[in-house]
Amino acid sequence: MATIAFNEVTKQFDDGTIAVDSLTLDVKDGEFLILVGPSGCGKTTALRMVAGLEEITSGEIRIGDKVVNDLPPVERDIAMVFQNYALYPHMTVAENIGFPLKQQGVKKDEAKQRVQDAARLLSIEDLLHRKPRALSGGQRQRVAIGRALVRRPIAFLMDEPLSNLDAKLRVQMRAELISLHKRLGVTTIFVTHDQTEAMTLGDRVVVMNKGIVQQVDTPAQLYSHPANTFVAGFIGSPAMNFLRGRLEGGAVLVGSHRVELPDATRSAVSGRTGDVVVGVRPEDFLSANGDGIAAQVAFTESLGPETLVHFRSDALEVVERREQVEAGEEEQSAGSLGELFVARFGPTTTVAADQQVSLKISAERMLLFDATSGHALN
Amino acid sequence: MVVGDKRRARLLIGVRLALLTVGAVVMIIPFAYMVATSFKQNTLVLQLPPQFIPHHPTTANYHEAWSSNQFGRYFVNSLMVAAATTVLAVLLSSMMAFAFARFQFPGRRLLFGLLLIGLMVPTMMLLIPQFLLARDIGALNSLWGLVFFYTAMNLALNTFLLRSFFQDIPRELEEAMVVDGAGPFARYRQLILPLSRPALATVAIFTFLASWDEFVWALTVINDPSRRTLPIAIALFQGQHSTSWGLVFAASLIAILPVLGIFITFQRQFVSGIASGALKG
Repeated sequence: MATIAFNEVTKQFDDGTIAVDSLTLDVKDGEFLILVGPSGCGKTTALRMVAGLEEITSGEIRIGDKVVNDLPPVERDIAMVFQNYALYPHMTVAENIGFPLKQQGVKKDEAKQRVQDAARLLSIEDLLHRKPRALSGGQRQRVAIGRALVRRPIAFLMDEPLSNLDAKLRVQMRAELISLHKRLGVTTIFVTHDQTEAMTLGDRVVVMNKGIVQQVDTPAQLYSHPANTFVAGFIGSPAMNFLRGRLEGGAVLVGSHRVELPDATRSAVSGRTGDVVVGVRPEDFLSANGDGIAAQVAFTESLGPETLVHFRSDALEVVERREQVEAGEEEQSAGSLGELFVARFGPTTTVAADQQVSLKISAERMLLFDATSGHALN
Repeated sequence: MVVGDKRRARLLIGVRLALLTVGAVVMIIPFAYMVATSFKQNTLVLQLPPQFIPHHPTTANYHEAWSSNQFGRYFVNSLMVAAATTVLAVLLSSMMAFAFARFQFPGRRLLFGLLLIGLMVPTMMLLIPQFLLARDIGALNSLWGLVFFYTAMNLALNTFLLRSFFQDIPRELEEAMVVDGAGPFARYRQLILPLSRPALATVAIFTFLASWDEFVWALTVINDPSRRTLPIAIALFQGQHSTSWGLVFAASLIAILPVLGIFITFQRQFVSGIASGALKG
């Protein structure tokens, strides 16, 4: 096991594109760290630089105490799981898993034993004689993981390994990865564009955009205290609602609605006035008894344990976030339906389409962002 | 499919089948005539109308072809030269194709361009320069000399075909091998070659056929009768004033056998090689 440290690491491609910009990050020994962000944010490039598959333009990467900038992949003692599994199609499962050991010159008997051990750990003992084409997606994924762990590397690098699995299998594999990590305790960097994966798997999550780290934190902190509007919009599904607001004294005016700030927020923004972006998670819109924000329900989505209520309100003004649009989030498609907001209600709600409702914003959980920079204020 | 479409499709299939039949007949008749003639007595060879099924078939031509003019020796010479050429040309061209497909190095494009130019120069134009080169390096009148030049002649086309096939092998597989500790040669041997069997079979057949059939260069550089190859031996059956066609055809048919054997052995991979883009380019 080992720590992995990025120190001002930059990757610029030949065409001038800066994929990773001055990345500084410490991955702790035994940590499960997630790199998440939209396509093209630099997360995979960062991972490939650790693997040695991509050269570093400037900066320094350390694995343990060793600077690995110029070390070939094999000397870094890491193992990688690829998005498309990258199983060798002409080899059996046993040969696939045992391939790294063969390259290391491990004796046949020992290699066979280690392949058996890895297969047992992943419950694929019965598949050892099959070729990859005779395996399901989940089985292939297990083989790919088996090939990575048979080497007993000091770190695992995983490049969107679950993205080709169907939704049900993905949930199952997520649980298996968590349990595997608990048993082995190997430092792991896991790249994904799926924020649910990021939130459920990681000890810490690194949110990246355009090659720049936006925030490094625990999943809970990312959700409740995002550093900026990008993180706030990227983490959480449905995405956070962004409303135009105005700070006045100890309150924020959201449209015609006035929300008194709690003490903690008040001290965080003390002395500040003027425009702000108000971030409200869907669950932080609460039912009011007629004295709240007047809203008209556009449509509802019943998801079983919860109901998503999409609504319009003349009292609220949506703030377009450029980076959210660029992130290609599904929720943005709601923009084509006008200024829609979304609230999360319980499964027993009776709210229905075209109904008039009265809502209020949870002042304690409401987030404020600088209207220009998008940085969090509270 | 609606009724009208079905009729039109049937008509199209009929036209296609008719055209294919005409093409097949045009291709097969000379071959069938060659087979028939090889089993005829010499006096009946030019009989009119031509007989496709000989009245009195004989294998005398085959016996005579095999036993005269050291034909057996020429056969072995050809087999050795073609086999060695195939092994060498496939090995070298696959290595070159791997380098062109997967490595970045200065002058890569230029070198590949030069290789392609080699494909565009007619063989006849190269005859004299090659002869001078063969003379200077002592490759005249030698079977290894033939292997050397045949290998060189086949490298460009083979490299061109294999490179495009190698480029289609997912890069991720190679990267996985890099991470697993495989160096360039291990990746070539344990990934690229096993995954390229159809393409390798295709270029192996092309190379074998090209060196097995080659006549002009062998005639130019081989003087020693014991080092002749089959195409020269077959040509020897053609006299200045009269040609024993039964013998020529019997010898030619014997010469076809190894090619047929190779094709049948690699047929499945050869066809899938063509189908999977081994020949795209």
